[in-house]
Amino acid sequence: MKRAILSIFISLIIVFPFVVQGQQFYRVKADFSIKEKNADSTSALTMGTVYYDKNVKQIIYEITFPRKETWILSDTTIYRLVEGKLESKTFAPNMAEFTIFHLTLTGNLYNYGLEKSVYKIIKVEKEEDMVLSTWAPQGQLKEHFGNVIMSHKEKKLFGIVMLSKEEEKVLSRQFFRKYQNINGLEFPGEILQFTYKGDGENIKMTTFKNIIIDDVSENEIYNYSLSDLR
Amino acid sequence: MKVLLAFVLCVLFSLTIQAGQSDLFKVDDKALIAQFGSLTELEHFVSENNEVTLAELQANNNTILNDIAINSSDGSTISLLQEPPLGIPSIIWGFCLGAVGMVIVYIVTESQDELLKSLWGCLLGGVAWVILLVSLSSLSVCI
Repeated sequence: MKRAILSIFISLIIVFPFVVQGQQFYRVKADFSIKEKNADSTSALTMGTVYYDKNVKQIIYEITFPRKETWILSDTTIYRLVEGKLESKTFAPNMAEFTIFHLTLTGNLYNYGLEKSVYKIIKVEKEEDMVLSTWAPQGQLKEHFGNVIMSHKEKKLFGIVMLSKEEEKVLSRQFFRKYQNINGLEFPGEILQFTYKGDGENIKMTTFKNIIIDDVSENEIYNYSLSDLR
Repeated sequence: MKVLLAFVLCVLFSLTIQAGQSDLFKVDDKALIAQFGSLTELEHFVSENNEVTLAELQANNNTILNDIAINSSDGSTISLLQEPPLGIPSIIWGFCLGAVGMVIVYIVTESQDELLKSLWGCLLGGVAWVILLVSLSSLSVCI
């Protein structure tokens, strides 16, 4: 009996690292659409496919609408390609780690990476079917900035509300909805964002479809060769 | 009686706050569907006609664009594709990261207003550094 238990224990020790390693997601591919309604009654629609590998940290947008073009966000540069030819190259800070793709793949979407920011959690309460947590800026910053309220539903990030310093005004509301479980990874199928400016409201709805995690069929696109573009 | 009144007021006040907080996370889906109706129709049309571009639709005077004031300004796409970094206000980006923070804010928001806020943050950050350095140097003189 003792020998059997010992065998199971040893087997678990051997197998466990592989199981854990199996949960280390590294790639995401998805068809996306971004619909925007602005306070000035203008609209925008952008559609295409996005590719991201957290190890490479390049975000590749194959845009099909409004124009066919490719955007590659790599390191501190945004490359814009039309018909495979470099159209423009712009400097930009490396934002890859702050995107929904990186946060989701690294398991940091739950608090939207806020625990690593200047905000600290000050209150948690349960309300209806949500757990609400209030985050406050620390130190001298709290004299200038307002709190952030985050809500979770079914142990998933549901909403983020940014308040003004006086907490009288809502600056923005963001919702993560229609989660899809892909191979054990919960990825939001819809992100809604309301931004308030004056009396106006800008609404942005991002949807992700055909989400593929850890795709190995298109290795080249995840690690886009930039040598010819530099 | 006063205690009872205070208790009732406290309960009412806390309920008001709670109701306010949960209200912040309510979305009127019916209104949303109505607002995005035309864009959703366009989205479906584009999905079904995978190769179509906005320029082609405009050239053909496609009626699907009738109810949509499309903003197709060149280069606007990238601002749509990125989420605001950590939801942190522009002024904090300027305060913490200085000029780099300002660049981040401008790239993400493409808004002059937000850029101005980050500039204020940058200036505040600069002042804070100067105060810190002066304090440190005076401290070292004292020692």
